[in-house]
Amino acid sequence: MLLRLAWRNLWRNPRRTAIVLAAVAIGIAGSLLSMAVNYGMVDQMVRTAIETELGHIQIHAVGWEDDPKLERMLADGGRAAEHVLASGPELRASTRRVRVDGLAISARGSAGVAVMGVEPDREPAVSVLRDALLDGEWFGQSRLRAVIGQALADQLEVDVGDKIAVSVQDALGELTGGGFRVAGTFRTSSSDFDRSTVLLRLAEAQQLLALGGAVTEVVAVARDDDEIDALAQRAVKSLGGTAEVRTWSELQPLLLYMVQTFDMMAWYLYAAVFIAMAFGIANVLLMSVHERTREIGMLRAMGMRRGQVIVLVVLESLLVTIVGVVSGLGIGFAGALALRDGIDLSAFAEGLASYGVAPRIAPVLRPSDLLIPLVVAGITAGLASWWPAIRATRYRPAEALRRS
Amino acid sequence: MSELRLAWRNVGRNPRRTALTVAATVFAVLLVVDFTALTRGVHEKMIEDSVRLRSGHAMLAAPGYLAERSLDHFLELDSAMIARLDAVPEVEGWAPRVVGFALVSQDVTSQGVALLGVDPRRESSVTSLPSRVVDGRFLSADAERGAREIVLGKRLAERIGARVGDRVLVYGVAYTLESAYELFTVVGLAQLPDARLERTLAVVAMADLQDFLAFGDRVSEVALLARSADRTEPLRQALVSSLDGLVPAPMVHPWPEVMPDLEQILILDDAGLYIMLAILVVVVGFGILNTILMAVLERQRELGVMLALGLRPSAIFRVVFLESILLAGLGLVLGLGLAIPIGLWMEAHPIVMGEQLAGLSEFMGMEPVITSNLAFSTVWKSALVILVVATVASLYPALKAGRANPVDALRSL
Amino acid sequence: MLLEAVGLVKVYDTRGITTRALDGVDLEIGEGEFSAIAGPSGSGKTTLLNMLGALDVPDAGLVSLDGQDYSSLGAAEQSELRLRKLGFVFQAYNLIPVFSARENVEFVMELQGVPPAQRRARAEEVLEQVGLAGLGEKRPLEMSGGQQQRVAVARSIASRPRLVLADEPTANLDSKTADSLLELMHQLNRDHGVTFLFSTHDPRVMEAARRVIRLQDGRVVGDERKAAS
Repeated sequence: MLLRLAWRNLWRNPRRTAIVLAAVAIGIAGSLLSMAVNYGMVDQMVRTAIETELGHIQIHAVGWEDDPKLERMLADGGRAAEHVLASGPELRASTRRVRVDGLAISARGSAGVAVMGVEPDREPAVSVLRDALLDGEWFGQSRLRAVIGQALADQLEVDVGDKIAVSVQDALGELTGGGFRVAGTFRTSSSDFDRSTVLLRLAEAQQLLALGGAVTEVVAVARDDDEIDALAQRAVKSLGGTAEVRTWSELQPLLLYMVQTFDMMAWYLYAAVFIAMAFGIANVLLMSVHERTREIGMLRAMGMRRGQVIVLVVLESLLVTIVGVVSGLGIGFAGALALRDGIDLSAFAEGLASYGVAPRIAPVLRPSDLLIPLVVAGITAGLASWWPAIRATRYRPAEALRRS
Repeated sequence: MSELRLAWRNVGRNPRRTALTVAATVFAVLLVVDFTALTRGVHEKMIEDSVRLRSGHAMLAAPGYLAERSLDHFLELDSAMIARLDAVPEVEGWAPRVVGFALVSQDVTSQGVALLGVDPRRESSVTSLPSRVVDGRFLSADAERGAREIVLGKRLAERIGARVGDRVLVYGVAYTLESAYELFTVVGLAQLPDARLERTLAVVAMADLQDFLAFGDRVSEVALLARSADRTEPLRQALVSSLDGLVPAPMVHPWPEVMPDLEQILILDDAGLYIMLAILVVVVGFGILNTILMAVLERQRELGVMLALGLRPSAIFRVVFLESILLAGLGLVLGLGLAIPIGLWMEAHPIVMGEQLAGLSEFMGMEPVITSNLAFSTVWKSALVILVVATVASLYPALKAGRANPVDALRSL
Repeated sequence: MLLEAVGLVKVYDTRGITTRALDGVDLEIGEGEFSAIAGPSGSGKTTLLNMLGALDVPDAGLVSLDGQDYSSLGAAEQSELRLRKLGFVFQAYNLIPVFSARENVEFVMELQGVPPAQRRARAEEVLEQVGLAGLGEKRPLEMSGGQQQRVAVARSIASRPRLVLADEPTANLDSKTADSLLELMHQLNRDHGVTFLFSTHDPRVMEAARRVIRLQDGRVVGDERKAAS
């Protein structure tokens, strides 16, 4: 009944309550949406990194992470690693790659690139590179074909069908090179990757680098994000000290930092909005308690304890905040839903692409988007009601009854 | 004047309510001013870092160079052009560069790099590269052509296992499209705020690079330093008119053209900040609205009496409006009184980021130190925003007060 | 003795001017009484009633109910005392405006921890006793002054208190309504043994009361008991 009394008290002055509710709801909806867009951006950054290069898990020869020399290879061609990965249910797909730094040279220019030897038939199950084809085809049938980033093609001033030379240092330390015809060009969300990547067939790359059957890495994706750790753990257990197993977050800790930083930002954002609200809530409660001085005296005369009066005021504060938060979340979720096709930021495409973000950003909502505002709201509502609650009980009942 | 006095008294009537509303405004002003100052500081730092690292405030290059950055587009840095560059007072410093790509290797590990050929005598007048050498030294200014000294990014050196004194093989493609390779002696390792750049930057003497690439006396670009970032536009104008008539005329690109990604990221970041601050200000605006509305509703009877006494509704409207401006103004004055010293204090005491944020700053390519920058424009724009919000928030209560019906008002209590 | 007050003194200090609202009041109220404290305004009636109702603390003197001294009780125990043993009726009705008549009556019982079904039945019962059967779902603002005061009476007796303190219960009512309210309280006293103590300057109340204690300038100046009617 205290709860019912608190609830009805809220609506004694509907206009006043409505304004507080509107402030809370707008604050929450706005924070929710802007955080969702931020998360959408980070999410894309992570996804771009995973889908173009990282995969969920990479397995390298021991020592690769500290010193990625070409001599540190999986000499068995990654067979052991792939066998282990495939022996459990978590794996969606895996593929093998060779990766080395090199130069790409055309008739018009040259560029420093990462040369990646990929398995044309298996790579598409792991990365988006084939889907990102802009022009031409995915290697095709002929020998000695390369697929390169569109930005790189622009820099080298080559088109599909033109020839480029790829210069590398092979496994024996010799400078060597080979000619490849551009079969296709791709554009991913990462301008860095597009500017600096030449894809070759794995076998041809191995030949160019005098690697025999060895590969530098096995890349795997799990069926589901939740299964990445399980997959990695199984690989670590089975491969033991014979290979380095790394998840995407270990390979790119900065991306994880980014995610964590945004989590932190969400707390600060909500805290700032709620502190601003707390003043408004406290103000309204104070007015309402002041207006009800006599009524509170009567409640005390009837035998209500001081603590119960405080609980009543705190409940009123909590109720108005929670109703505001819930409607704010509702508006925010609806807004995120309406924007699920993404916000067009193509005017900022270059800036976004330099961080691996596509120019269309869809807001991403996460469970913590529900949790954080509710927790912060609860705390602020409690704090905001503290002063009014104390004021509500500062008169002795007789005194309160005397006041009008 | 009596209206103002009346409004002022009304504000003082309920000190507790006024205090809470003012406190909310102070909080908003504090966040708006100091957060903008902080962001501004971060952005200027990002610009300055990038500008002082590589591009300069503006860049002189042949038409088409910026899009392709290939050796096909070059400048002839003849005495006529040098004379003109030296003659423009807006130019604080200028440094010519040759830019090529190459593989740098030591033993069996090679790494693709951006090979930057600089004039050791001029470079420090534009960028901080020479001072960023942490091990060994920068290219010597009086080394002979052919000394073939090279400075590597520290991360790059670690990657290929090179140390100061080692000789590394540089392998590239010359202007003539012939292969070129040459041994260079590592004289120094540089630490850069941008980790990506540190992994892929190698600096050699411009003359050596011109020889290596068979580029003759041509240069790829000339980096220009203005007196400060906001003097970039005057610099551009002065240069354009000074270089007018040169054939072929080089293009002058201010830094946003050289680094469009940086400018866009800054704009987006600003947008994010403004959205957050807007939410905050709207929330505080509702607080003001509620306070004024309550004050008006409480005074229905009094307002009725005033109307009955012959006060015009427009006068009542003005009083209520003034009340809300006074309320916001009070918050504004106190808020600025707090925000400005804090902002100045933050400017004097840069924040060194913790480990986690340092990682992020590395990602963003800036040093992990946040120096806030409080601009006068931030202060007056914040003040304007708060006053506009207070004005909007006062409209409804003021209209309501002006429409009070004397008879109803007198009956209502 | 149900209620006993000895040597009650209360001094108000408003901006340096001290007023002795109560200046040594001794009083005993027995079970089943239907008594009135009478006196002109400013005589200290309400102050006395507040002391007797544990709503305020005297500067000197003692009050005890059923032999229990108020000054030995903490704030929470005083609340408990008001909740279990005392009922209040105020001049200005003082109902909770957002609750219906029934909810107003039930609220006290809820504070006492009476189970819902039981308090609902009791609320219906007392509302019927005060002649408001069927009006339980109305909110105070939808009722007349007399009806509101009947709700207040129903609320005060719902938890079967030892004593109901009524501060000028008829002051805001017209004479006809006041009469019928007095009749109601009289009937509750007679049929259900509810002890009432009024403060009043309404001659009708003095007329109805079986004992009239006269108060002037904070002192008892008369105590008149009438023969049972």
